[in-house]
Amino acid sequence: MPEPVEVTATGQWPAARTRAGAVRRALSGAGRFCRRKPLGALGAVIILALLLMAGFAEWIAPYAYDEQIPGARLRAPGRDFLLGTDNISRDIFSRIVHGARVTVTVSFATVFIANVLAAAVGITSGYFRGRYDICVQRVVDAWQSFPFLIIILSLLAVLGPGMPNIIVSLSILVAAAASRVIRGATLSVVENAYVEAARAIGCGHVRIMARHILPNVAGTIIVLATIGLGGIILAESALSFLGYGVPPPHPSWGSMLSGSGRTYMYSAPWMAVWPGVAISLVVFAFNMLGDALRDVLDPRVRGSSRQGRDI
Amino acid sequence: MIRKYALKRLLVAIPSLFIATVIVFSLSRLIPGDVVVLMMEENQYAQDLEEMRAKLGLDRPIHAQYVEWMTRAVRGDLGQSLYTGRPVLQELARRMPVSLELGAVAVVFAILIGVPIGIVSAVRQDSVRDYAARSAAILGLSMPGFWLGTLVVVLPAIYFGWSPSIEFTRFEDDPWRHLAQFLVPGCLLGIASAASIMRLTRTQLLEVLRMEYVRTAWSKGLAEHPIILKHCLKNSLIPVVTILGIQIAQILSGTVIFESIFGLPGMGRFLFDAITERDYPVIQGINLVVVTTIVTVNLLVDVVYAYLDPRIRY
Repeated sequence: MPEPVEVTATGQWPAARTRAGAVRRALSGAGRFCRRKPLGALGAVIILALLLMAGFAEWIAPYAYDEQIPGARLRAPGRDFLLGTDNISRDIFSRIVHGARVTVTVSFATVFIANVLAAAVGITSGYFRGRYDICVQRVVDAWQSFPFLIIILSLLAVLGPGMPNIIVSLSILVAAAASRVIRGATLSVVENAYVEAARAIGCGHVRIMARHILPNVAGTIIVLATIGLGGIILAESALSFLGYGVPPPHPSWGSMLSGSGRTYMYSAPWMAVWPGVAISLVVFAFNMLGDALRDVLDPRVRGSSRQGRDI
Repeated sequence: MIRKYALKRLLVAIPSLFIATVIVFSLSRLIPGDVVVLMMEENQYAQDLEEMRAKLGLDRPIHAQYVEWMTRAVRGDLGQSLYTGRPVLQELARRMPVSLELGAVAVVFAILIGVPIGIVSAVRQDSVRDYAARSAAILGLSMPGFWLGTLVVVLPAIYFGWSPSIEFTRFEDDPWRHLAQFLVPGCLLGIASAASIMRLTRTQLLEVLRMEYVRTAWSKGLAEHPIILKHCLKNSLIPVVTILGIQIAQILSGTVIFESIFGLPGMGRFLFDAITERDYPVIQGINLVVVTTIVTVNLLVDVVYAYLDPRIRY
C-alpha cells in the first residue's frame, strides 16, 4: 500500500524527500518498531549477532575450528573454555562461532535463490492466469506433496552431498511453497485500478510486473524470506545431523550433534547442549522477527488485535 | 453438490500426482556417472555397466521406462532392493506399521497439546497466558527435533541413570513395552505440529469470536463455557482439519530422524539406510508411496473440509 504523502503547512515537501530526512525517518521507524514489537526487535538483535559472528569468526573465536588444543580433552565449560571442549580437544565456542558462517551462507543463499525463483513463478502465474497458471500450479502442487526431508535426502543421495547441492535442492522446495503465497498476493494486486491504468497507457507485461506488482508484493516476500530463513536453518541442521550436510572439517551446528561425538555426550553433556541452543536461538529469532514483520507489513493482520478487544 | 466438488478436486489431484511420479521417476536418471561406478565397486550391485543399467531399468527409451515402471507400481511391484535383493514392497509392508504407529502417537499428542492451549490463548487474548503460550509455540517451532531427541536420550542417562529404550520390542513379544516405546519419540515428534495447531486454533477462534452470532449468544446471557465450547469451537476447528494434511508430511519427515535416534525399524530408518547404501529402487519406492499417501490425504482433507463447511466451494 503506498504511503500517503504528507504536505506541511507551508506547502513544502515533507522532510522524507531529502536524504537526511530519509535517514531520520528510517531511524524513527526502527524506533517505533522496537517499541511496538519488542520481541521482534530482540529477534533482530540476535540475528545481527549471528551475522557479526559469521562475518568476523576469526576475530571472535579464541581458537581455530579444527585446532586441537593439547591436554584439553572433554573439558567442562569454565574460564578457559567458555562452552567446554569436545572429544578431540577442540573448543566448542570457537566451533559454534565458525559454524555460524555455514548457517548464514546456506540459509541466505537458499532464501535468495528461492525467493527470486518464487517471485518469478508466483508473479507471472498470478498475472497471466489462465492455462499457464493452471500448469504451473500443478507442478507446484507436485513439489509441495513431498515431505521435505524425504525428498531432499533422496535428491542429495542422487546429486551427492556438498554445499551447492544442499542450497539448490533446498531452494527448489522453499520456492514451491513461497510461490504459492506470492501468487495469492499478486492475484489481489492485479485487481487494482493502477494496474489497469498502466496497461491502458501501453506498458508492457514485464514493466507492469516489475514496476507495479513487484513493489506491492515486496512486503509479502520479505515476511516469507524472514520466516523461511528459520525453516531453512532447521532443515540444514537436520541434514548435517544425518550426515548429509556440509562435509567436515567445516563445523556445522547440526553435525556437531552427530557422528563420533555422540558416544562422548554421556560424559560431556555440554557437547549435546550448546550447538542445539545455538540453532534454537537463531531460528527463534527469525520466527519472532518474521511474525513481527508480518504484523507490520501485512495489511490483513495489521490492527487485528485491536478489533479483538471490541468484544 | 459435494460429489461434484469431490470429482473436481480429484481432477486437480491427478495431474499433480502424475508430475510427482515423474519427479520420483527422474531421480535415478540423475545419478552421476561416478556414483554408478561407486555402486559397482563399493556396493557390488552389478558386474558391469550393462548389468547396472538393466537393474536400474535404464536400458530402454525413457517414455517406455516410465510406462513400465508405473504399470508395475500400480500392480504393487516397486522393484527389488539392490542391497537385500528382496522386493521393495515386501520390505515396506514390514516397516510401514512402525512409522504409522509413531505418526499416530505424534498426531494425538499434537492435538491434545495444541487445541486446548490455542483455546485458552484466544479467549484470554493479550493476557500473560496468551503471551506465554505464543512464545512457547514459537519456541516449539524453533527447536530442532533431533536435538530434543538427543537431549532426551543423553541427559536422563547422566543424571538419573535412566534413558528411553532404543531397542525395538515387537508387539507379539510384549504389547505394553511395544506401545510404551513410541511415547517419548511420538511426543517429541508431535511438538512442532502442536505448535502449528495451537497457532491456527488461536487465530481461527479469534475470528469466530468476533462474529455476529457469538455477540448474540453473549447478549442473550449465555455463560462463557457454552459459548466457547459449543458455539465457537466447532466452527473454528474446521480449518484445523486442513493443516493435518501438511502436518502428516512434516511428521513423515520427522520419522527419518526419530527412527534413527530411537532405533525404530520403520520407513524413515529404511530410507536413511537405503540412501547410505545407494539403494535407488528402495529410495524411489519409498518416495512413490509417500507422495501418493500425501496427495490422497490432502484430497480427502479437502473433501472432508467442504463437507464440514458448506460455505467452501472453490
